[in-house]
Amino acid sequence: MNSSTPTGQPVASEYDIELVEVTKRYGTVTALSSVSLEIEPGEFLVLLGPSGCGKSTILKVIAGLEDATEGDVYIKGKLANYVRPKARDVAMVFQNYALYPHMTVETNLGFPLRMRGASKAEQAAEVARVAGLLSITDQLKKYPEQLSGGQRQRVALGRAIIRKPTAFLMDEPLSNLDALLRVEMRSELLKLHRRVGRTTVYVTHDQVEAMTMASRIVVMRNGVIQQVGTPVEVYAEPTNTFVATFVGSPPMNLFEGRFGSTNGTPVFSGQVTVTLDGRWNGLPATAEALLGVRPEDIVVAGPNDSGTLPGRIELVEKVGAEEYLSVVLEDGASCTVRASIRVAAREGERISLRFPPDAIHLFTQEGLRLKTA
Amino acid sequence: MLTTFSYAVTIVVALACSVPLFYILSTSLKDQQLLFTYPPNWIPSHLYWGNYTSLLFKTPFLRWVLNTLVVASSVTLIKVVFDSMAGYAFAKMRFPFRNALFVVVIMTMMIPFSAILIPLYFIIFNFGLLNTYWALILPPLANPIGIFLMRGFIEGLPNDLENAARLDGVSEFGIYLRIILPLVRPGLVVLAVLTFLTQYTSFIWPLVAVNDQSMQLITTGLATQRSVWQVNYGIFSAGAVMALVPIVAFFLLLQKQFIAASLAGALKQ
Repeated sequence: MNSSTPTGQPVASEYDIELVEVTKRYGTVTALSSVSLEIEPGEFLVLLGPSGCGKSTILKVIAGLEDATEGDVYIKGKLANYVRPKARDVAMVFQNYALYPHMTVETNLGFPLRMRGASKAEQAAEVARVAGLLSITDQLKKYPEQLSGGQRQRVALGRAIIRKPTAFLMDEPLSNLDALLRVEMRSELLKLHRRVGRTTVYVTHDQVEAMTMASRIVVMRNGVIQQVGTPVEVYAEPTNTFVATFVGSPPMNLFEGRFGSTNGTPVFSGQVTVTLDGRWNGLPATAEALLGVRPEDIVVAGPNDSGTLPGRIELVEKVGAEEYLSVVLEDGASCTVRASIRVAAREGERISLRFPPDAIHLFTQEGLRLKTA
Repeated sequence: MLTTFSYAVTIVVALACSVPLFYILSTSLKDQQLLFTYPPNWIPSHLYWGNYTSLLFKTPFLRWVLNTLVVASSVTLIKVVFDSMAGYAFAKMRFPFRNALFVVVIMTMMIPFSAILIPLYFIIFNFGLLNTYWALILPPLANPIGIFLMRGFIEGLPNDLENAARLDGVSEFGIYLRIILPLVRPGLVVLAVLTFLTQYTSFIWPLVAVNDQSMQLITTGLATQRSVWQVNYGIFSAGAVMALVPIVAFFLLLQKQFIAASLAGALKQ
């Protein structure tokens, strides 16, 4: 895996950043457990997971702010374990921006260059360039406390960009902004990434950010990588029930049951009884399993359709163009359906649902995805 | 209504505070006879400058003032530097036994000064430092209150600021100097004012550590006048009035910062 020769001489690596079996322990707490990850040049990699899953720790280990307890970190093919943060050539954008409160925007932006011994003229030119890029030229003389959240965010980005590092590390940079500004900054960040074209590792717990921005998503839980893939892969083929329920809103519906077959057709029976399609031929009968179906894949059927699951609408949550229906099925299981408002569902009404066979996910009882035949 | 009331209260308190000051000023301008008239004259019938002249010309008073300024400024300067460094280390750096060491530092605050007065005297004596500036400067430096204060101020700063600086290429000492110090300036001012005032008015230790007339501080120097002229309240008052001058100047100099600092302290989350 590692890209150094045994003599320690770096060889050209195809990866900008590479983590090999990185484990991080704080006392008895394991924050990262044997994490391996290759990050390609120019990639926008998003680390996604609930709070405390270790995603920020990965950033700190890459930046050198925390040492890995075990394992190796390579930056541009060079072993970086013993390289000090300032020599790692990565820039970080912090959740609370970490702007120096006692310096003006101009000094904040120029600070990394000054610390690296750039000349005054060079600093001024770079500050002007980056300020122009981020449209903060008229804020240069202000102090951070005089700026709005969005402007502070830009300055924090600018301080990272000005260094022209190998990679940007961003630790939930949008989470302190209000919803509207977050959407705006999200697209600005993406445009910026396209323009600057540098490797970016982005930490978030917001799946919308992850889905819209990432070229690849790394889903994490309890310090362990659950899945690495493009947003489409993570959404369409979650490797386990954690990913299935963490990615997607509202989360995937899961039902307990087991396999069987009726007249040679595979059938899942348990909390719900669903006829499966040919993809699942050859699965062992009577094996315990979990059936998953996304709320948006469930079809609201007509009252006279066959093969439907009858139920009663318990709650309707309207979210603009669509609504989330909480439905209690006849045999007691409940599920969420994402339906168009044209369905005009009302609480207490009876409803018939159909789970399209091609939209069904199956997991083992332990929660691992079952591969189709 | 409330404003009128609070103004009234403020005026009463201000008057109560200034009465002793005024009385000292008035006493310093009275001769021995006038001092003990009853009822006392608040405003002396004639101004007597003898107390001032005898203090200035018959005692090394100006030398005492100089000594006091040298000692108080040195202690203040060194303490601000050392305590902020120690506070930074205790607040932000990770090293073995950090918390245990801090507890030890704090515990030294619980030892009354009178308990260590004699041992401290012997230490200074054995180092051959009696009757030197070092005897007056070194012991107060060990007072841990400043470390405690600075640790509190520095602990409140977000860790990400240091991490950002670390990535920006700043050394650990550079972080202390360029990031931490400017941000805890209110704390530094509080520490400086407290230390300077404590040193300016310290009495017991200087009384023990120096006995040369030329090494006395204002406090101990004035005390020596007791034996020479018995108790001459006029001389004492004149000394007190003149001693006020440097400290008032110091406060005026730092007033803006000090008020800002006490506000910052009040609002600190």
